[in-house]
Amino acid sequence: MKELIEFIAKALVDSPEEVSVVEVEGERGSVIELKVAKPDLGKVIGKQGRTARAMRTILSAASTKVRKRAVLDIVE
Amino acid sequence: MTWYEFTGRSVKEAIAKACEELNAEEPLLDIEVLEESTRGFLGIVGHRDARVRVRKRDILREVTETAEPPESAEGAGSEARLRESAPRPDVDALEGSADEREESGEALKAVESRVDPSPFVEGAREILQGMLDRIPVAAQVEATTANGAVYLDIKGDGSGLLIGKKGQTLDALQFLVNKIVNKANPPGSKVEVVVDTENYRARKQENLRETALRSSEKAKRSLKPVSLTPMPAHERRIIHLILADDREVYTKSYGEGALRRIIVYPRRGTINKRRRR
Repeated sequence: MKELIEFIAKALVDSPEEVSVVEVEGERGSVIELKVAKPDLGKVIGKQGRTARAMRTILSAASTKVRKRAVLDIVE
Repeated sequence: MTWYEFTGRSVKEAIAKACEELNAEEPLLDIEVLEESTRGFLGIVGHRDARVRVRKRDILREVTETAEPPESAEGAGSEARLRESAPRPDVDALEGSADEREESGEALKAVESRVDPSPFVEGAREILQGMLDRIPVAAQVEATTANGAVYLDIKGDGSGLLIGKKGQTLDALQFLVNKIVNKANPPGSKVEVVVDTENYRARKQENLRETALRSSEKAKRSLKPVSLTPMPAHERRIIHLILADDREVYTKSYGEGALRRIIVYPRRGTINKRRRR
């Protein structure tokens, strides 16, 4: 799932080399922390958070598939 | 010209009755509201009907005096023009991810100068395939072009996982692929990508068509506006396009964001005309 978010984020931004994704395992599933270059922040969030929402939707489909809970966190 | 009085549960209804009785469309009538309706208490006690006074306008005299064409004739003319230039709804409506392109008549009329989608086909296919591989689902993406858009068909999963509730997963995939493919394209030269699986888009459109026709029937029958459930922009666009050809109703959207919904209004004059025949 980390790879999924990394793939999408790298495709969205202008500086893919500055994308970093960390998966933090918690008690109830994992938290996927996405970090991008400052000018790219808007690109992964999108107008009214649409892009972020779309990524979360796909992530939830993926977590259904592998039966593991995951949430996406975009960190500054 | 003589005056007639009509009553109805609302002013609108009274006017509708008047139009029917006098064989005339609303613009051809002089209307005076004598009394607004009052709803009363709980709709039972103290209800009072609306009363209106109408007479037929003497259009011929008005025309010669003011040298202005009567409203109704002009209205019909511009409508006819709009209908001629409006794009055919069927195939065109399939695509339509653009946000607010749907609403105004302007937008419906505008024939877009489309971007040639073929250079983007392979790139779009790879991106979607890349996403699916990492979900991970075992599915193959087949890419073609259709109606000036890149058409990506996901083959092989078939579980409905990729469609999601009300198609939201499929819409999310489509949104992201569009965004990525058009990253470098300035507004106006964006190519449209449609993501489909198990023929979902066509099935969805068939459902929307049924919804549109059903609500238009209901509006005509009840003479009242019919409100639809909130829908995303491209679905509303399809409904607008389908009902644009129906002269007896018109459609408008109300509300903001995810709660934006279409209301289908009956057009009073044309309904009465039709009933008479």
